[in-house]
Amino acid sequence: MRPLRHLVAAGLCLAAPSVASAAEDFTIPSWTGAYQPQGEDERGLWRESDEIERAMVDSELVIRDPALNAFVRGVLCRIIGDVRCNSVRLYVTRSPSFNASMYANGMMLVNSGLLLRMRNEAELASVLGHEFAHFEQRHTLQGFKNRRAGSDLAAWAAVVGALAISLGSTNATYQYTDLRLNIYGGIARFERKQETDANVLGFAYMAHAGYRPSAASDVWRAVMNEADQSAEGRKRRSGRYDNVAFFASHPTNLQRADYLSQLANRVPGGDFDGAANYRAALAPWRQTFLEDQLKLNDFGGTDYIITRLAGGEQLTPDLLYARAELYRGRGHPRDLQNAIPLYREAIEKDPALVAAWRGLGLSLLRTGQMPEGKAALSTFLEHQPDTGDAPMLRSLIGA
Amino acid sequence: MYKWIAPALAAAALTFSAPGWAHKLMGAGERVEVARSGMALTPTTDWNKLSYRPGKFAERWTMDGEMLNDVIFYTVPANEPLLREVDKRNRPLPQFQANMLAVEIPQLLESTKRIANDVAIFTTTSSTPAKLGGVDGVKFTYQFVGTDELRRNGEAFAAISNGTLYMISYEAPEIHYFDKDLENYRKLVESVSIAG
Repeated sequence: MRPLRHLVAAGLCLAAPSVASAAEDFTIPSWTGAYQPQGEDERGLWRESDEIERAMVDSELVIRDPALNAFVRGVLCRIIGDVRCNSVRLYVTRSPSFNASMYANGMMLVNSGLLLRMRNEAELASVLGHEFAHFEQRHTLQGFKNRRAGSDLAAWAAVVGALAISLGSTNATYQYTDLRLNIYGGIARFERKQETDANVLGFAYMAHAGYRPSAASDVWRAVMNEADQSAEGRKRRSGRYDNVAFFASHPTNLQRADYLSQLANRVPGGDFDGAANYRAALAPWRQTFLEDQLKLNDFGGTDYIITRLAGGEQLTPDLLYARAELYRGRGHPRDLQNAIPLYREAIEKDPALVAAWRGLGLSLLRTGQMPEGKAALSTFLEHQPDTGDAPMLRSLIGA
Repeated sequence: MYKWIAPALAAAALTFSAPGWAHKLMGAGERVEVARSGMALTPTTDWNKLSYRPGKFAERWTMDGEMLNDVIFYTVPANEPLLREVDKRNRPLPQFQANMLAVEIPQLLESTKRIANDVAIFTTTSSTPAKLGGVDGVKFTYQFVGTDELRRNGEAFAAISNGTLYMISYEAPEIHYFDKDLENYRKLVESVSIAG
């Protein structure tokens, strides 16, 4: 089975660039109905996408929860309408990065990391609408044709890379990747124009459904802020947003955010956000998605996500717990001190959040507050006596 | 465009011919020191040591190839990651800290694997007190699904001594391989001694 990482890379990924000169016509084109691929290029591309989709059908990385799937699909269908929606198969995948991709055959992948970062239906709609616009405008096919000249060479690189990988060399894997980047770099500029077209059509969908159009630029500003905070947490300078990098198939995030702001001012959209619906739909999964994010060792980026999810309000108990875990995970002595009151506040606001007792106990033990730490762990074990690491925790408290 | 082929082939040729490619047979009954450290053990069956180290403070042994049975020995000093960095700038690995509790080691391994190996699903299934080389520590079991979408089981013993993390992990596909070599791995663990 092909790794999901490669599947995502193979799709039209949502990530950065494109500016300006699109004809800003916000009318939605007429839908051509059940489309069948034309010509050998397009048929081949569909077959390839079908092959990838067959792997998705029984992949463990796909989240099958009917309620979550119905919600995400509902937002997509609301903006593009049921007729267009019927041409899309949507898969929510367990992957913590911010991404969504659309394939030539109508398969859409939505990462759990994207769902974690969105705050309302309008933000999600802006991303899904953009991805669907790529599909409607058949960008994958145009990109593929443009790419073919380079791909014979990429095939050679794949052979060499595969040989090296079979002998276990990670270095050779990197060399192969670099080669691929160089070849693909040559065709990347072409795709920026597609990005702009997809943005315009994406806005048309949103406006049609009455969503607040400026949610689109909110998303891209958040991407930049998160990258800034990530970099700062790692004590390095953030990347610049105003240059189009060699391999940027998408406009830079700054260009995209500015451009989307301008478009949002022009499009006659509504003001519906759907924040409450979104929170309710994500509630059963938010803790899991937050935990996936917490384990990525990205202090600054994760802290930004937590702050943004709170939306200027007081942190909710699950966010308090997440921030406490973030501090304990980094584990400097001052972090452990900071984590303790956060755990306590989370417990106070939501006594059902028993996992907080575990984190509280471990933080207290690591800062030398033995009796309090043992008491907290005992409380945790009273609530969850059969948890996986109960024997380890009992040994810590001498029970 | 085709000028790219030559460097690629040259790079591949270099990779294949490098002396580092010689893997080493670790014969049964010979006492060996692993991962350049104070951890020593005696295999009871033959193992292969892979010459390519997964990290500065780690060493990898296998029977049928690391995708099928993968034993990694770790002897990690404070403020170092468990494995080699994959992208230190953008995705740095978490580091072992001397003040960590043994109960927190499973999460350190989990986080490392999520970043270094793109593991999206990882569950620690149990965690109990155990000794490694006579030092009090933790034995834990886990399950994960990596990018090849194969479900693997893992078992690890870890202990912290003098600010160094000593750990031995065993990972193999849930189907057939994990059970096949579990006892061989446990015999390695039983024979471990930690100096210092």
